Amino acid sequence: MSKIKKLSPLTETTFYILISLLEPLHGYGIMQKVVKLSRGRINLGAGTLYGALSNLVNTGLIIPKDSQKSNPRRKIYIITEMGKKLIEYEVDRLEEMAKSSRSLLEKKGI
Amino acid sequence: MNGITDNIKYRSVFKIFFAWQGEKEEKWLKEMSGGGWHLNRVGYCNYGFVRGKPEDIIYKLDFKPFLNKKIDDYITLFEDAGWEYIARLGCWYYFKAEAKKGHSLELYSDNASKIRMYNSLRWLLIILCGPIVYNLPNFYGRVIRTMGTGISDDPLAQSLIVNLAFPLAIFLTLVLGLMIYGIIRISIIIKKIRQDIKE
Repeated sequence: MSKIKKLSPLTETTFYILISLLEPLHGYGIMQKVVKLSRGRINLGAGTLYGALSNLVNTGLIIPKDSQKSNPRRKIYIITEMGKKLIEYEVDRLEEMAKSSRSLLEKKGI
Repeated sequence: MNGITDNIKYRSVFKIFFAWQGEKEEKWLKEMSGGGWHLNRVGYCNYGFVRGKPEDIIYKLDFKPFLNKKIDDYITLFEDAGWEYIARLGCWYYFKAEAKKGHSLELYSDNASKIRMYNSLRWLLIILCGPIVYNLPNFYGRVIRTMGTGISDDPLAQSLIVNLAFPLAIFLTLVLGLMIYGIIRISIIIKKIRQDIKE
């Protein structure tokens, strides 16, 4: 748990990449998924995605799966158990941020 | 254009860009494509162009050290994202894309990853300074000793030091100065990005 806490907070980009890997995806699949999840707000740059994937693999939050037979050049990634725990922790954190901010706004009548 | 230059299909241009001038270089390549000359080869201070229709093309340079084994993954990912890989020069990778395409026209979509790229570039420059800093005092020591004591016993050693070590020491000093200047320029770029409140 302390390790999970140390990794938080994730950047918005890293968070979306991690959560999109709840299902196995290759690089381009992640890009499309993140556009969808963020309702078109986040258009991942290829350099940003490549760097984030290496970092996530090095931290043990995702692992590369065996490549597709149809296209061995495309590496596929999937989230690990630790990655899932971090996502849960992050969602709680974001919920807390959203809830307390929302109630403060309401109290002030904004 | 007259008939003779119309027949020229390839062109090579000598131009110097330093490591911290990536954006300037990208802009220049875009202008070349606007004039119908499309980059197809990159060498040290030397750019190869092939003639074609004038087009609005965006060029991007990515800095990636230590990629040798993973280069296939890397290029495939960029190609999937709509970038065409042109060439590599050392740790620099050159990509292009049509400006009108719908995909992200930046390689780095957040400040955190942009900073990471510039940081690795800065580290490489710092590491490269190491051997020069280590050897320079030695070079200058020899030169000063020889020049101070006048003609050495060994005329060959004397001539080597005056004709080789001395110019080399001057050259390395200039290179070191340029690299330190580069490190400062890159640090300024990083500082500017950090001042942005965006992630």
